[in-house]
Amino acid sequence: MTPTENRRRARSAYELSRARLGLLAALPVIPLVVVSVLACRRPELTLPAGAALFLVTALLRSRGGSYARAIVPGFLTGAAPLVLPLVLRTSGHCCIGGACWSGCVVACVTGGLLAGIGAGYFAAAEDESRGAFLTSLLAVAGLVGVLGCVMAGLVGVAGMAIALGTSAMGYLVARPAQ
Amino acid sequence: MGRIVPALTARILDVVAIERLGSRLRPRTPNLEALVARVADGDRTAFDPLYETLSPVVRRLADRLLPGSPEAEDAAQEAMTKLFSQVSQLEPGRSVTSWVLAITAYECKTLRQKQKRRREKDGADPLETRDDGTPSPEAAAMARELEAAALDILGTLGPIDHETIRALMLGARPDVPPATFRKRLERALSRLRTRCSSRHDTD
Repeated sequence: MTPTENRRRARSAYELSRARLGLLAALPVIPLVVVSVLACRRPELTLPAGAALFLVTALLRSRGGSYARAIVPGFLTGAAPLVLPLVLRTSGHCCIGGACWSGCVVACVTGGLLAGIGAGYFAAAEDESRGAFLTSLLAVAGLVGVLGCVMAGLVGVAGMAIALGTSAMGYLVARPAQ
Repeated sequence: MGRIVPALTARILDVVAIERLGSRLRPRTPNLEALVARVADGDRTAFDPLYETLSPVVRRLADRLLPGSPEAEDAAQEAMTKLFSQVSQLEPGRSVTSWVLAITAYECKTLRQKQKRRREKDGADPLETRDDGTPSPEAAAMARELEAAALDILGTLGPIDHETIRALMLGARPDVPPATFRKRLERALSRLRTRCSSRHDTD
């Protein structure tokens, strides 16, 4: 075996171990998707979003560095747009005709705003590769939020995404570094 | 000497060889910990520098532990593969030098056990011996060098430790109960390892 082949073999082993780490890190996505499917009854939206979240989480963990560090803050901040619509739904506030629809959209936008502020807070504390960190964090938080906002349809998802990005940028402009 | 109790002799020589390699690894690579931390964090740009740093050290240790064996290269490669597949799970704060040496030594030990089984099955090992059954010149030279280092460190042990190891290596048990002898041997080997570590400044 030549030195080049030896190095390639070591590199393959390394990348394989990184991929394994990524898959392990993405496992918590599965119960979130199950909860979303059961609560929102929109599997046609939830399943693609869940698959995307699983893939993004695995890739970010496998990539490492700032990308991987963004995963946990991403799940934490994404909890707001995930939980708020679910809570409103179970408490019966947004499931009656047009009022239900509006309530869910408001919950998604509010959750997105809170998630964006959280994302900005975490990104401001990141010293290196802040752009990569923020992008990764917003991707994870956004996809987690989608799992909760699918019950409001595409309007709710879009409202959450816009609120998330806008409030994160607003926070960073107001408080650029901590 | 090694023919009487080959397992114990090999163990002592391994300890000496590993500690000596460890002492060489540290001063030559002051940024080893940093390189390992970067690779463990997913920094691919640190992969090649770390590979370049570890490869000769691992190969040298494999050559020492498997003297004269062409399979030392295979053991070194297996060790390198294992090192890079485990680097991402390396616990923070753990000695990188010890980790590298432990994995390499384990791979060599595994290969040596395979060789031993093959030798027991087929007779003399053709890799370590010439046609007339004597060790190859390279194997003999490395064994002499390691034996000298082992005896040098053995000489620094206390009289009881020294006599215990010497007695077992020569196959002549002292006149003490077997349990006492086992305990003495464990303590002696433990102190031998400590002496090697302190002499070569490794963890």
